[in-house]
Amino acid sequence: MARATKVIRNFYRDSVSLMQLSSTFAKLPGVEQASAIMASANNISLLKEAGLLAGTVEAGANDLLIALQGNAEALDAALAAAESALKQPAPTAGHGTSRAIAPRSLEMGLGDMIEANLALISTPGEYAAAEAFKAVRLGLNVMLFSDNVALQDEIALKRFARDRDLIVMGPDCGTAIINGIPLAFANVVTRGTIGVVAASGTGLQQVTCLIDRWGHGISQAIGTGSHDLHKDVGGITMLQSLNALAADRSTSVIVLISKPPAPEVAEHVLEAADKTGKPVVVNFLGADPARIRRANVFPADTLEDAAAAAVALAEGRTPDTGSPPGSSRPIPSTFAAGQRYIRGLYSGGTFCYEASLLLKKDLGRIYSNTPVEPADRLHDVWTSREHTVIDLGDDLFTRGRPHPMIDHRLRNERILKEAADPQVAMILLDIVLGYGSHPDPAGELAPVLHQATGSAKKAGRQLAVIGFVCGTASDPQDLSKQEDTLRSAGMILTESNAQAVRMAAAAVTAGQAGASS
Amino acid sequence: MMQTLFQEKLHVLNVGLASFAESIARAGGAALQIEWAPPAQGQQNVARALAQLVNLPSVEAANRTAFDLYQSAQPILRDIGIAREVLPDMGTRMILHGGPPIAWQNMCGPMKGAIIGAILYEGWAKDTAGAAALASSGDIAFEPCHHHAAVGPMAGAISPSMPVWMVVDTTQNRPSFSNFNEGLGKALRFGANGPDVINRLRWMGQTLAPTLRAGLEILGGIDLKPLMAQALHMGDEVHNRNVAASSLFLKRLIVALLKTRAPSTDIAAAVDFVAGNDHFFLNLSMAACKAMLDAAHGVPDSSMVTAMARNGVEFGIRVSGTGERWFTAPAPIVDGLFFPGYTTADAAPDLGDSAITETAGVGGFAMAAAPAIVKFVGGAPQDAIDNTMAMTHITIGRNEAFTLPPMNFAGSPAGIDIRKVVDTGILPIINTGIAHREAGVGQIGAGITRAPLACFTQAVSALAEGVCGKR
Amino acid sequence: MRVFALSAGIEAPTGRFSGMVHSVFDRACNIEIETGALLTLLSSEKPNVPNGLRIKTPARFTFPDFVRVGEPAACRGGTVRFTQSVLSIDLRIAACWHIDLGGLRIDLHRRDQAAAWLVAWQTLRQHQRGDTIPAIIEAMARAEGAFGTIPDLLDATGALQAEEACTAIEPLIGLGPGLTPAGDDFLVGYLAGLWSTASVDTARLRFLASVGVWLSRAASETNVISRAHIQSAVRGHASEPIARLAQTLDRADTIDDVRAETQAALQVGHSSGTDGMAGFLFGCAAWTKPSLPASHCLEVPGA
Repeated sequence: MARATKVIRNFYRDSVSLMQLSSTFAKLPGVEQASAIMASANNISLLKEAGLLAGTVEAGANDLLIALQGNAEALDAALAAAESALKQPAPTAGHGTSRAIAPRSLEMGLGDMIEANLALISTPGEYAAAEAFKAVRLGLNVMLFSDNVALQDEIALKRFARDRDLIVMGPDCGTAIINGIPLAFANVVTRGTIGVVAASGTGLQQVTCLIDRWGHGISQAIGTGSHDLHKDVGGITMLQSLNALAADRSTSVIVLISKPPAPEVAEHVLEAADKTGKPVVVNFLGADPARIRRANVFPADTLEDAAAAAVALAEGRTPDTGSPPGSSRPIPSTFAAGQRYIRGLYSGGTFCYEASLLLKKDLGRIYSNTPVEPADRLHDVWTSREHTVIDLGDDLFTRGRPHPMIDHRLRNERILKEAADPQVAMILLDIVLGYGSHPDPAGELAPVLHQATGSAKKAGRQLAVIGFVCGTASDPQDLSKQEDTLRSAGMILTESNAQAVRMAAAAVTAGQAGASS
Repeated sequence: MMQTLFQEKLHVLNVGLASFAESIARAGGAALQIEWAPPAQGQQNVARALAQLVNLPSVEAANRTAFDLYQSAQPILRDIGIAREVLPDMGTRMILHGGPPIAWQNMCGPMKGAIIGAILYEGWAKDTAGAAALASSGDIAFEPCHHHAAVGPMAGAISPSMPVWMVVDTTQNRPSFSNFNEGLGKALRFGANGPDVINRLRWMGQTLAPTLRAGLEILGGIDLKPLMAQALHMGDEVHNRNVAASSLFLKRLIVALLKTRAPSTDIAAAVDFVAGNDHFFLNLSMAACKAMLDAAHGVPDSSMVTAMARNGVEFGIRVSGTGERWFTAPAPIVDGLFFPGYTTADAAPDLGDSAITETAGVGGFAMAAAPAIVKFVGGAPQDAIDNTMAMTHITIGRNEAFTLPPMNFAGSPAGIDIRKVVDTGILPIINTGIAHREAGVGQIGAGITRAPLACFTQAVSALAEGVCGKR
Repeated sequence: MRVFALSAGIEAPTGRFSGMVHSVFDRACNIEIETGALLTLLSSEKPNVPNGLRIKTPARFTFPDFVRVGEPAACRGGTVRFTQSVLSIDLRIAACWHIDLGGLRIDLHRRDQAAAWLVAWQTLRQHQRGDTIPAIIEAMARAEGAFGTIPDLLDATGALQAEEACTAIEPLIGLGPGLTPAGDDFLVGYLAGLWSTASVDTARLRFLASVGVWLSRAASETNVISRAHIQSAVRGHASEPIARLAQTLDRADTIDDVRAETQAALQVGHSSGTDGMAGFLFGCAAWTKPSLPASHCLEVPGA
């Protein structure tokens, strides 16, 4: 009498079918006993006791075990018959029909990618709210890159999503890093334990890049959109993000970045931050640190300070409250008499605003198209006066042309124009890397820098171009390559915007520039 | 909750800048680019109305109900009657026409010709000039067939004494009607109204209808859905190709006819007439489709289209959840293959109630079943399958009664959802004949056309108002 | 094709989830969720289960026509979709289904409830076939064998000895024929019986908690589908037929009603109904021996 077994992995048939199989097998010629049974340990010992099974069987509780006893020749045929009886019929009409057409709508897309969990929307603003509402109705989180969405739409959308346990990042959300994936204009940063929530896209980029540069990583970086902390929106997205990061086991430190929110919103956010049970670093650009500080909340003056504080906290240290990291080096330039002003030409709005804030402390009036003080508004944005910082990403400049992070022509022209001004001593620049940005910004900039410094030199002046690259080694543009190119073009590079600005300000206050006036 | 998002692999649907999807893919994420275009050709208010309706439970549930009603309808050809005796609310001085409502002075050439022919047939005027004068006098009421549970191909003229097919949906015990198909060439439905046309109509009323009626009486009725399903398996799509269906119909009828007491000359003439017209079944297919869709009409909140019809000037649709209202847009010119000697310039805009077949999930929607049709309307057999596949994206479900052999016997896509049409921009496809723009010339070609988007955008706005306004 | 869920068991996930089709039967389909939980989709004629969604399925619907084992499935915006299938399931209008066994107060010292229990027991006895638990128990109680541990289980339960109870349960896990092995079906019913009679007795609830902790782990010895049933039972949830029978006994309904509910419960699966029912009736009697007229001689093993 011979025995044979067959194991079919992860095989589930209802009990009636299993009974039928057993009796079908038992009726096959030459088979004396047959069993089709789930191969749990208890069943295997049962079969052994019954003498249907000899030796060990490699099978688990989720496998089907067919055990046969009979004459040897019959068993092979029986097993073959068993196998064919077990073939699962192929699904018919309701399955596997081709989906040849590319998805034309979010709902169609969800049919093709059923596990979708985020809709990234960058349509023209007038359609963006409708698309975002659809996405939320379909159960998707939303990143709304588009701007020009009405405030009441933003409020309705965010409340609608919050009621469904979904989040809306944006409108006007330029960057985010979710689960390690950079979205829209974002850098490739190491994953780690620091979670960032930012109302400012470039602010988020600066902080995440510095954290990466200093050897730490990002758990999640969530953009809220620039209007989230408006009093009527009430910081819905920032509060949702705070709660999510508070509950996220991979996050140990949280960083919040924004221009100063409406006071009642700020209060709300800071209260929530204090309750997360995790240290929270807050950089509300230009806000009074005393009003921010709580037991678990640490104020930071600049984006760089915020990154440094987060790194310190992640290492279990208390953040320094004193002087910022990165000592300010003197500028290796000798300016000609009459060279007295700083001109900042920024592609990132938050960098521009931060520069205004820092320069204002030491130098007083700073003109800008996005001034800290309304009185310092530059009336002709095309012409600088005294100390001026310009946000070239402002709608005034981007109408009908790409953003200055993608298209450098406008800034290059402006660099040459500033360089020709005999009163200009220093030009401040930001260079932003990452997905979405120009593939080689240093390559675009270098010839212009040569030309600018060259023509100043011919006129007997020395022009200092100071700046920083916001990016990481893993960015598609490669941070070190970009920095090398810029240094060879004579640019003075710092790690951060704050360092560059302070260096320039120091040159003025120390009398290095504008000495003769 | 966001925490769940943090636990999952990020899967992004990207709407807008394609470079964002590429970046995500390069960074190791999953992204699917949506081929997005502003919905409703950029009408923001429609886009917003649509956003209110997407995945809305009440609409989804209403559509399930409407679709089930559509699918459970059992249209049976029961009898033949006289229009004024059997059509609901048919006046004695009324002529019905195809498509949405239209006044006499606005009608296209073929429709005017058909109306004149119908007046002559009724004997209300002696000649065409008199008939035209009568038509413009306001003495005759013109109403859509659809307002009287009826459908008619092309001009769709039905006057009080014409014979009509009587179909009954036995599930809801609801009747639907259609006129008789006269065959190709000079026919009333193309606006021809010469003596030969009128004489044939008279013969159809006096001889054909009673003869067929006697046969039907012996049969006790013909179940139309199984017959249509069988025809789909034989290469028809039961709109523009009815060769198999007409043959099957005649096969059912012929034995019964022989059992009647009708004179054998009448039987011979009737059989000869039916056998000589490959489109004979079209009007029955249309009446069956009308029955299925009337069953689904009137479900509150439903976004399912229950009628698409054209009057040669306007294309109109009706939606289950928006009552009796028509949503109209200019009727498109059909792009197709023309018979020798004719061009697009000769064509009348899209005409007739026959798009009821597409509304019911056959015709252009079942094109995969009818590869031969591509010879008639242009294209390759694969196009037929692609067209059917495309329709799956704008429909609520599949009609399990109408299976398509080339698609692994999947059901035909059915139940057009106005939301999906506007959201995807995929327009319902219609296989149709092309009439000459002048009355009486007849069919000059055939082709494929699309229902105009504007009908659907208006319907979406109206439905959103109805669904969201009442909350 | 969008279909709608009629009811959702108390433990069925209805929010956002991602998973994979685990197994497909004509009238049921299991989805293994990323969290490890099992969601059971049932066609409308099937009774509710704690981790199940009962779906308003069209006529002649069978799951194998629409879904395939191994196919990804995900729920977004209240709708379950499959990668390849035209089927989608809208969960948003599903009613929650739950019968709270812990809230029942079956006490077989009460004559009316004991009489109802007896009706169920007799119905079960009339129904039993050679390959079902009661028959096996009778055969095995005399001989040596795994099912011989059931008397031990009843004794240990009566004495509130959790450890001994677990020892007696162990040989039953994954034991016997069937997709959900007979031993597991018995255990699921048995736990339902215990929950229905535990009332607010802290010693009994503590016993249930201890056995539950052990059993949740030990259930990994059987297959994923059966394991899900055991884990639900540990938390006090049972499938609709058993739960409804429990309600009937709790209300001490008429003989006809008890008989009807018992018959309904017996119809489940091939033999699962019988095995679960046996477990349930033993469970009900584990802490309180039925007080019955002397004329009724009960054959409860171990009693």
